[in-house]
Amino acid sequence: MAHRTAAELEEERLEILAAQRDRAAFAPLYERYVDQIHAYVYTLTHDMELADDVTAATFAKAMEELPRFEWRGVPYSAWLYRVAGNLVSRERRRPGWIELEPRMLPDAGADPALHAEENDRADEVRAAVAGLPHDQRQAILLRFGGDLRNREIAEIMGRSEGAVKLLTFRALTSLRKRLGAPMPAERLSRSGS
Amino acid sequence: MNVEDRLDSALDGDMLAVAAAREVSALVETGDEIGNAIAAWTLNPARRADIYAAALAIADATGFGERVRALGLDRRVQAVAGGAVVTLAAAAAVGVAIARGRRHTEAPLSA
Repeated sequence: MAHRTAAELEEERLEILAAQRDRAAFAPLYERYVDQIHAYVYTLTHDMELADDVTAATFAKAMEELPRFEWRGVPYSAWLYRVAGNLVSRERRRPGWIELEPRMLPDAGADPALHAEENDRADEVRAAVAGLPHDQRQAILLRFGGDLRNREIAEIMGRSEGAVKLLTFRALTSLRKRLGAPMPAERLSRSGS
Repeated sequence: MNVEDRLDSALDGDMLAVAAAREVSALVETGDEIGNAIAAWTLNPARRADIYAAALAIADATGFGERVRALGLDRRVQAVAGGAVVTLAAAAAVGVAIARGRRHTEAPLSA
């Protein structure tokens, strides 16, 4: 997994500084992270409408907090994931919360390209992730969707780094058993990149 | 070093850890596939603009959204999201966002 380089983090720090001076400069940050945050919330909740709402609330909070945001040398997404995770936790604590079954395909609002035949495997993989126990699902999404480090994931989840490693190991073991090896085309595309 | 630590090192690119055990190598492969599958989750431009409009509607509760609009951030995002067609979609989405804003009044989602 490729974590952010020091140069990429520095570039992001400068983008945040620019957005703090001129809020119109927030747009690139929204564009960079909206898909990640939406995928995270949808995979945690299995509810497309709730994913839209929580993603919107996360970015509303981001805009509100921007003047007070302090750079800590970690990707901005770590802060966004924490806010989104807190919002999802709050929703899960509401009376009447029902854990919906994960669906193989996103609804019609998602990019039509996702429905193409070549993405069937990606749909299957996402559905398998969505079917994991909540803590394992969250650890996997933050590690492989957010490219965050264990200490960042541990902070977001309120767990130790050791616990995050164990959750990741258990989740990957379970997913490997369910999914088997990647398709040959997937292997070829990765080895060629 | 236990297997979770070996896997963690392997996921961080330690090739010795990858080569140390077939089990670890297979899990790294699965991790790569998961990363690719999650990265393929891409919202279409209209939905991005819709969510952004909803974010502004929520922020409006504190007056923040109006200040953002005054600075042109909403237009900037619409432009990034895909041009004039999306701008029209975003304008239509404002109605949806307002409705959502009302729903949030009933069941607030703010952190």
